[in-house]
Amino acid sequence: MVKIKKTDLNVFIEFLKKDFDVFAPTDVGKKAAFRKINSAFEIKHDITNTHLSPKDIFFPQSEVLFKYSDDGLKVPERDEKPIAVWGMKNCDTSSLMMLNKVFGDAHQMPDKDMYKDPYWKMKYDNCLIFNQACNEPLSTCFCNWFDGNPFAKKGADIFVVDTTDHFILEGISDKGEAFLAMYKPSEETTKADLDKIAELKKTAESYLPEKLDAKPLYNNMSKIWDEPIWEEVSAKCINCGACTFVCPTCHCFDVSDEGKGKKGKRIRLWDSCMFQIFTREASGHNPRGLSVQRVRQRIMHKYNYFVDNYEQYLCTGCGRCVQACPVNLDIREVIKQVLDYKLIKNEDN
Amino acid sequence: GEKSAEERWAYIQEEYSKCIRCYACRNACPSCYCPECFVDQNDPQWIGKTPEVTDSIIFHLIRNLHVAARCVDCGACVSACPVDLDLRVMSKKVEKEIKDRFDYTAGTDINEKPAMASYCENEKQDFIMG
Repeated sequence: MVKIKKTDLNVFIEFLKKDFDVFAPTDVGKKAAFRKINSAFEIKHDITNTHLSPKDIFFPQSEVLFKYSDDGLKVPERDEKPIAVWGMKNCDTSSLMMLNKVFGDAHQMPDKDMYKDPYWKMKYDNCLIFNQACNEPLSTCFCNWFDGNPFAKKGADIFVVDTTDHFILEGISDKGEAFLAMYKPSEETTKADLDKIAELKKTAESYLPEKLDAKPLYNNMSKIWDEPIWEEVSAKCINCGACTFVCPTCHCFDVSDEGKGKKGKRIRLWDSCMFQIFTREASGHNPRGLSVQRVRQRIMHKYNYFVDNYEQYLCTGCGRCVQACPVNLDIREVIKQVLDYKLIKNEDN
Repeated sequence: GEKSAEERWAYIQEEYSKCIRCYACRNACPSCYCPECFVDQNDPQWIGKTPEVTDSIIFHLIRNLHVAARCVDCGACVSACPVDLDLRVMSKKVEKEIKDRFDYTAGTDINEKPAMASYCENEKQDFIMG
């Protein structure tokens, strides 16, 4: 374990910067997001989590796939340095592992390399994740509904705890341990530190909502596709797309060409099932043109279809959608509604 | 004091580079009710879909012009924006232009014909050549 004084964080970040491009939570206007930083002084410490998720570090909102011209196709070159992310919370670390199942591992056909996304792998495979414990979960947090915990270490390379005046770092993966072994700490971790961490963990867990048994969620979802519940659930949704953009697990994308004549570029960009033309086909037919259909699509994707394909819920309870929604459509309420729902049209087996 | 033109342009670039193009502002707006929004058209494609600042500024400029003389400053767009953009910096300018050119303030007189939906033979035409 490595113990750093908070006032010495700059020294650690400079050390990290030698081998990595460092990303961390920082101010972006009036909100917070993960951006590449040049010094520890840019890091925003006084928040539980950012408003925008770190998915755009590895899955950028717009990414040039290639440029085309008379000379052929040209794939953009990436910087040499691997990425390190400071200050990631367990909900985001878990989300990235889910996105890795989709983009990096081609989960359903893992031996087919052609389905693995090289743009994702270039950034994610070599990255170093500093998973920081949440000392004070927000009222919108519900990671414990989906196997999360404010002090979870799953997926971390290095686990970090803020103990008021210090950061205590623990190597979790081989990569993380190897990195920490290279840093010469100024202080030794004591038993008092470990006791403090245990105390902080207990306090953090007390902030979370009552644990909900989400296991029946998949089964209920499978039965209610054509039930009238969706009219009520979707009634106030304005299909603005804010939830999908702040969500760390949402990963639908569109491909767009921007060019003139013989020169241009092909760009992958974030799409959203909330957008009206999400399923509009070249013929003009739009199978999910109504708001109610698209809200149902989003909820079922997260809590049913993704389970079919990837054996887990596509949600980590980070609560960003609850914060961002302009009409206060609370996904926690939707989950509870689905769990409590008595079937009307279909037989309850 | 008042900012110079350069300072104002720099502010707009800085602010709108944060736009994430989620279109929450458009969806929350009571005046945005087009069955097909210009951003969703791709034949022809009017603006790029990426959050590149020039495309984002164009999106907001066009949206503000489309709701010109119908925007009443209800603030739904500002409230819906997940990144807290200063959307009023553009909308208030359009409101001012409408007031100066047509002596019209949207939403104040139910009997008044909307400025962009009515023709007046004597109105200023200085933007037309000749």
